[in-house]
Amino acid sequence: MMKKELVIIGAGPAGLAAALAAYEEGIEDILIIEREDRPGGILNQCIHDGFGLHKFKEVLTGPEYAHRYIDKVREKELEIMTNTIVTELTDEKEIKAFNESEGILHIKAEAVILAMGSRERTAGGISLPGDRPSGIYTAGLAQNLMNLQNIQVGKEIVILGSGDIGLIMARRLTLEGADVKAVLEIMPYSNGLRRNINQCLIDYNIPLKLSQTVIDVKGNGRLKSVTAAEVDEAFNPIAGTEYEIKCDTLILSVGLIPENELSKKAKVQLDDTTGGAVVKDNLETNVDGIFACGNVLHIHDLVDFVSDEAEKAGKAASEYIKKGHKLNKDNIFVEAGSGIGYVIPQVISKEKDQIFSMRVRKPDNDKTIKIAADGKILHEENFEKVNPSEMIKIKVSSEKFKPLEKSTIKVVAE
Amino acid sequence: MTEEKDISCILCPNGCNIKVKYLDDEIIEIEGALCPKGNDYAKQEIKNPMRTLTSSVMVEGGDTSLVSVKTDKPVPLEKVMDIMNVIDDLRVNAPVSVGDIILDSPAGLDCSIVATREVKIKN
Repeated sequence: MMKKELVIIGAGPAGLAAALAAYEEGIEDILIIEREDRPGGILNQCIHDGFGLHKFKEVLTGPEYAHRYIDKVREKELEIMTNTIVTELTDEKEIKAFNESEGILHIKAEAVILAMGSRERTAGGISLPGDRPSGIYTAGLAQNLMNLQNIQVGKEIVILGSGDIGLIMARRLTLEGADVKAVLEIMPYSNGLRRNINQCLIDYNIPLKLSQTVIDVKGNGRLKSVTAAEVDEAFNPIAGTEYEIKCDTLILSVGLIPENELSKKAKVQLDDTTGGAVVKDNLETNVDGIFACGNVLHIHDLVDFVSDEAEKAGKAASEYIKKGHKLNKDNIFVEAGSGIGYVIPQVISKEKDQIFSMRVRKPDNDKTIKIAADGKILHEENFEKVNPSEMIKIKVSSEKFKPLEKSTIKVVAE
Repeated sequence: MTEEKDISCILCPNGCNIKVKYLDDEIIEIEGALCPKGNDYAKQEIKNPMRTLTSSVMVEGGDTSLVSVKTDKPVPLEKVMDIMNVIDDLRVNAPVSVGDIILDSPAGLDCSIVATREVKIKN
């Protein structure tokens, strides 16, 4: 069995940043396992710009952002095993992986960082009605085909869901000569960043139809049309509002799901809301020495925040490898209260300053986010605008936690 | 007559909503930006919107068939399709490095098309 101090599963932005942070802390026996033929993860197909404003104070495209990390990983000569699939992970941190050249590999790690990213919600995942002709793609798949494989996915396009990938693909398809007829969004607001609505839809006169969805898909062989309709507050189609849109391609941008099959095998406890692991403030899961970061932990809006989080996981894993595990008795549980979708981390210790990452449930103006325990407000912060598509980060000093008696704090938006 | 426009700034994830009052090209009032760059952006939006174009160019003999590219500076939004037409016909030979200039002055504009990823020679 091969032995490694640290194994990182996934060489996307999370895995790369975690590896570099661990290296900076003196851990050199690192193996990064990647199933694609090169590092970079989803950034390789995100050829648009808008990355890196926080980390590098400049605007980079996805591949450029990835390259900054890949260059450093090469410089430090950290090992990335590409074209390799991990099939097993145990709570003893034993890994089974395989690739074409080496066959099956058995690896025992002292610490593991989960950085597998996420996958897309599919047509089945949203119970898309109607026929199943060709021409229905998830937005990320369409992006992969166009930007990496030079395959045009269609000519007359309807996009369902206004997440960022859907908005980016609306522009990309238009630039490559397709006619994007509409972006339909079932919610009364878009789930994409404001700037993407502006530069991807408004710039190219692509209509965004809020509170509308697809109620039928027609086509035998290739997609012929979709039927759209307005929905009421309970998201039920409103009779009489149906209309047909002729199209050969339907792009689904309906959400990302953290990819946690391996985590489950290792008995990592998952959070129902995020779909990712329940983590402590050092991003360690309930399994000793297994850490999680990036989109496998919770879906991020900005890659810069993924890098920050991954650095934290890399440092924590290094500390674990060097000092062994220290049981912490002063655990405080963090709960998402009214108006808040989720909060990461879910468990904190009293001794450390904390940064909470969270998302609100709906867009609003002038909201105060309050962090409370023992009937007292520990910290509050006002936001002029809040939006579920934008992650909110709030820093709280350890001084605020020290006097706490109760073991639960609650975060609410009022 | 003065006109009013709400502009969502695209420069950073804050996406400030900037209100601009203007008469022809003349800015009368501007508010809502968290930083001075936002004000400059809004003024430019009224005069002549500028965008950085990102796309891809075909590669011969590379380990991938495309190299992602961008304009090295923002170009007028109305010229974006002109550049796309030029890019469609371009071919480059592998290897390509990040930052390599693929083409100068596409469609006669003051910018260059530069590579944003590396492409190695196919084994």
